[in-house]
Amino acid sequence: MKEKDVPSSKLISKNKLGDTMDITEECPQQDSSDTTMDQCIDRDANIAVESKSLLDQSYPDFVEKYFSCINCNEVRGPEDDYRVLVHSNRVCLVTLADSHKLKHPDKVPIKVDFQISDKINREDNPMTGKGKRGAQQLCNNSILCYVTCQDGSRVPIHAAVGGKLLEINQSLVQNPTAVKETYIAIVLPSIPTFESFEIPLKNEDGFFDVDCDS
Amino acid sequence: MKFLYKVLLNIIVMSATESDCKNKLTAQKKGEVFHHMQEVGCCDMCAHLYSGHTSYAFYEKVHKEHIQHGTEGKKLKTNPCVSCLGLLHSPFKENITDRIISEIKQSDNDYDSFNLALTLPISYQLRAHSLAYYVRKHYPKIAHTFGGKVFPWMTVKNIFKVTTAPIIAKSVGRTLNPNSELTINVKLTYSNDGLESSKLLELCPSVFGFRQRKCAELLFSKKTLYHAFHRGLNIELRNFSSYPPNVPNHPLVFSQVNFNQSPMYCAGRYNKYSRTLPHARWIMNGKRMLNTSVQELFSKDVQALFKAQDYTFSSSGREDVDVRMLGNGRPFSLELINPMRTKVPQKEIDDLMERLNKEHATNIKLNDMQIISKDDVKYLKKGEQSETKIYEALCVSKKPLTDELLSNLTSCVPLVIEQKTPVRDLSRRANMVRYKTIYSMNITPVPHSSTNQTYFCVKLKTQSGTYVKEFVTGDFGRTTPSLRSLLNDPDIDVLALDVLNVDLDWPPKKKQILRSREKTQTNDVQQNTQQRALLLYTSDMKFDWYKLLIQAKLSVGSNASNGNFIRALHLSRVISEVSNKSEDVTEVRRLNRNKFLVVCRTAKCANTIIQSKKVQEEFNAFIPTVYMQRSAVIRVLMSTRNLCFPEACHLVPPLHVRMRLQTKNSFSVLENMNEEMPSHVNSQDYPRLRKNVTHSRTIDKYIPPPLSTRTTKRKTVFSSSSV
Ligand SMILES: [Zn+2]
Repeated sequence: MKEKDVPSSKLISKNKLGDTMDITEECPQQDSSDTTMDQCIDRDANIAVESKSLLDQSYPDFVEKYFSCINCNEVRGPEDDYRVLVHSNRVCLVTLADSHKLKHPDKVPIKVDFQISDKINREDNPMTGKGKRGAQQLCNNSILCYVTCQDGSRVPIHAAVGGKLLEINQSLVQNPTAVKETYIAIVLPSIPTFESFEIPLKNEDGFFDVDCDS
Repeated sequence: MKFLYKVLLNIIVMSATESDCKNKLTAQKKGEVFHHMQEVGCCDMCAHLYSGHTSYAFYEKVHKEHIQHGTEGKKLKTNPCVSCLGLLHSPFKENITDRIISEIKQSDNDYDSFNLALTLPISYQLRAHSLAYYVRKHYPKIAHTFGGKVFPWMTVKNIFKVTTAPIIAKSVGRTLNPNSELTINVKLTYSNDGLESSKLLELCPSVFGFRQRKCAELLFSKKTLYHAFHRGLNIELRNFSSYPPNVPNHPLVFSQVNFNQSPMYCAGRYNKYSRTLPHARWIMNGKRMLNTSVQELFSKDVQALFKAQDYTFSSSGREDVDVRMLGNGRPFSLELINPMRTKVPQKEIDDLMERLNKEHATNIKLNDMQIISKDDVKYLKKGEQSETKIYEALCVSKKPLTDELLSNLTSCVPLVIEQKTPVRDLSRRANMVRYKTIYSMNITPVPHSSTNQTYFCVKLKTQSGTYVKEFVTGDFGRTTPSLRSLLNDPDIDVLALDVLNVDLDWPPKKKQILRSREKTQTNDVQQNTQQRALLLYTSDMKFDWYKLLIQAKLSVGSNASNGNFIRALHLSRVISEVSNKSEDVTEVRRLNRNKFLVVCRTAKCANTIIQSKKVQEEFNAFIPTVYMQRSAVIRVLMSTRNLCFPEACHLVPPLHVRMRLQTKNSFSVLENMNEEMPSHVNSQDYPRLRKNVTHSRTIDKYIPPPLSTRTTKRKTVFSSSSV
């Protein structure tokens, strides 16, 4: 309990520097620093003005803007066609091409099974860290999952690109029909594979590598 | 050898018991050793050193005597001392000190104090080593003062520091301080060093032999020597040179000096107005993408201002290339490595800031630049996690927005979203799920003539670290819920994004600005507290304790030091008067001169205190907002995600850094939310978990227990917590 006459602003900064914050933090003076929405909007309301020019442009689709497409046709047999979305950072999303057999309107997926063999379950991917150590390795004809359709057929879906499996789309288990629409897996191909794609990459992603500074 | 140590040990034990009579004996002995060492070729100082004098005061005294009588150096001929190679005696000492003084005077560094560090050649180490053995052999009783080590604990460096360093300090007009921010490293060389130390190679090939091939330059270092001396190689080593060492023909020579100033920190806030300016150097596939970046625009100039060797830039978070940073700017700090100018006046910083702002007016604007302390930097890093940010996104959609949708959207906050590492960031970060909170959300349609497209602005207040673009687009369903899923419109996209505010009041605003702000703030504060006083505990908040803060009313303009003080007796009288059941109030604790914490057992009691007229007249009473905000989020989570209280607590990241308060309140779970939850929560475990919470972990690692077991467990937890 210091009885010194310190200006309140000083107290605030002192408190904030403390190693552990205690409940004293909780006082209205400090809360005044969390600026309300309205204040902010008043201060810099020029977004709308600046962006007027944007309004008249036709904007590219989210996918078109950031991803390049490569088509992998007949990975294993006819009508086994995939459309792989390649991001400039090498990450690939595996989706079904329109010519894939599952895209027939009469094929209604009712189950997606990531247990591809007795031992391998694609959902069980012990990947750790940013180095993605321990991720499952895929070849371009590795099976990602089996899709069971209403008519009883069981269609295997292949990876189309080889590399590390970063993620499978778990929501497909609950919602099997989405397999026609969304991605099935995210794969990180090796650098040689990536370079062999020979496609122009979209790079207005707007993200940059911070670690490159050193 | 072992036997010798045993003898030594015995001597130490003996000397401890019969210290009185030994004292006289050692005094005699010391004199004897002193003369012996002088004959061997030591200077006065070194001779004292090996005769076992261990106090700094002694050497200071000897030094003074030398100056007074001018006797020093007479006994020695032109050759340097065998031990210190001339560091501690004339005329070589003067040569060295004169050079050091002139180097310091010439340097750009302007720091007031300094600490002197000497780097001596390997030869010195070897000589000291063999001399120590020499003394040990002839006068074992003296040698025990060396402290069982190979070298005497007092070294020539120490003696130099107490005798010569003050002279240097005086003549350069700075003070000598061992803890100074400035360390002056003086490197001294000896021309025969290579020749003398190469003998080591023949003696201990096991230590130095294999290093020879690897790195010839770094063959002998303090570290390898230490290694050799402490590896039972002593026997060979002490014979290495003539025993005692021969009298050198060359003295130690000053070789170089370098200044090592601890880093300084310059902080401020920056605004970024460009959509083609990255935060840091942006390199993709080995190619530089854009030729400049926020930090590069001004860091070099600041570095030049401080005459620093290098810099590192850090900021509280970062924004994408195409995102503008508006509002009061983003806090940053520049660590200036080895700055030569340590007293840069604020005026110069302001001038630089002004110049840079003019130069780069279209891209950036700097504010509040100032020198800060190292502790302030810690706060920047800490604040990164707890702050909130306000964003504005210009979005586009193909469907018209109905009013109903809009109102639904604004009412669903606070909203906890689940974000997997976005695809665009997946190549450089681990894939994991992060829980982030959207505190508020406002949508305003942007009028436009187009018939098939709708434009709107979304203003979001989010927890820091939220990926806003992904919150809008959903990132292929990897962020849930997203604006696309909430508005049930798969075509929503972001056209432009701005950061409007980073809620971290740091670095401190410059004083003159602060004062004017303070005045306007006081009114706001009062309104703020009045609004908050209306917040009450609701029936669905089931905690063990209900906390209130009682604060003195701000007396605007009056003498604040007396006006704001709350007397404990008075407060407790008021509280017992107000609350019908005074036993429900369990604690009234002073937090501050003008602030008290009141802990109640029931929500009703807490609410009556807040609402009572008497309290409202005299104080501001309110529920801590940290609790209110967080519990609001938790309640949302509990209802929407079907979670029990502790589970929900774990999902809501703390708004502030862990709080120190240790009570049995359920909120202590909130306060230490970083604690990992065990995979099976049951009613017996739960209270124990709350009590011993010590270390922290990141929230990301929390894996909720399997769905099937969860529902049954929740009931038990609820019944136990509703007392
Ligand atoms: Zn000497």
